Amino acid sequence: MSGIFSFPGKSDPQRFAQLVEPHLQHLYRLAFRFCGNRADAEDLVQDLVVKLYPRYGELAAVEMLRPWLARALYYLYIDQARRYRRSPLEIVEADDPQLLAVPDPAATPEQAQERRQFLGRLQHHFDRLSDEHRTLLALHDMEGYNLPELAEIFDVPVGTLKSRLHRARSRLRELLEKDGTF
Amino acid sequence: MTCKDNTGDLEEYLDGKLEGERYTILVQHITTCVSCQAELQKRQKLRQALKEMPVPPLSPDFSRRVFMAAAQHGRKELHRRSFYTGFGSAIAAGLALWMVTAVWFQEEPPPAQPLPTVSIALDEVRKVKLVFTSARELHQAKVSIRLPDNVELAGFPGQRVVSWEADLDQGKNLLALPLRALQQQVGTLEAQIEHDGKIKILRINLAVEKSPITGSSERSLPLV
Ligand SMILES: [Zn+2]
Repeated sequence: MSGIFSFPGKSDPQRFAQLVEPHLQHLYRLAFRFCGNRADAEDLVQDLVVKLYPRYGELAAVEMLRPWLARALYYLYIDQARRYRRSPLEIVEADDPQLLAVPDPAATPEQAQERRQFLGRLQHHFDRLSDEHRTLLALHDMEGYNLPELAEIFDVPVGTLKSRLHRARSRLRELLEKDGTF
Repeated sequence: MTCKDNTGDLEEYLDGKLEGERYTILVQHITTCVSCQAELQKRQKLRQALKEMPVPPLSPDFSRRVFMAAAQHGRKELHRRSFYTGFGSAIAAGLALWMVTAVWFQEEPPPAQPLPTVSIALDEVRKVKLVFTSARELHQAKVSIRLPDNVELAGFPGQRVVSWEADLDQGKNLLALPLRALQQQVGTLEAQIEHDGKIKILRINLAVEKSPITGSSERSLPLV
């Protein structure tokens, strides 16, 4: 029976899970940055995993799986976003990002409250950036991808990415300044 | 150096990539220029805040669910392929079954956390509140409630699915469902909102218990 699973490139559920599972949390973080809510982020990651399942052979041959998966997630997100804009509905969850902001033990209650409000406004404006700006900031400023890695992911030269990053940050700041947050 | 054209250097400085003479010039300039100091601080603050933006935790059973979905989907693919290539369908079916159980075995250990559960006493009517947040006003959204066997919606005896159209406000929309408990068991209720081809589903468990439950006659889910 085991011979049946050694078809070249055929997905073996256990091996597939072993390969992908360690990256699931990271993929979800990225997806959350892209989508702005947990339900859509989980759907996006699930769609990706389902799509990758038949491509086990290809995956197993990838040397650096993390950026490879990030790239696949990014293109899937862009592809889905193009076809249908994000869902207008959002289920209220107990884990509202605003409530989750890590409190600074040294901060006074007023400072902590101010911090929460600031992060809330930031999330609000971040979600309204263009896909190009949001995904770039998510990968670089939030999840720590470096420019050479991003050049691979986006198929864009480092110099272009640098100026794109500057524009993305400026745009975000402009939005924050406009509503008096910054 | 004028303050206007050093924004690129400020960014590189924050990246830790500014070196040599440009580094020295910028650092010297910053120590004397109040406006550049403020500018640097703002940029730093924004970057720091972006790093700190929280991510809610994954659903507890996510990993199991995802790999099951992948294996199930793979099974369908296999069936389809086997049909076209003449691959013995009996073998394909055996294989598919094994694939699913394999993933189950592997993914079972972390106990899947249950859905939020609301308890209702047998024969009691209890209002269960669900909150949907909408980013904008929605006109004529289709609301469907799929009920498990152990409860019914007061006023709709015997109906398993109750659907209607509703307008949703921007922001929080409260849906209060008066549920009557019929049988002593646990079932899952699905509340679905459909608009413009998009669907959102909320699921909760309803546990019908024998003894009357003390406490508030209304129960608000931890989802709120
Ligand atoms: Zn200056």
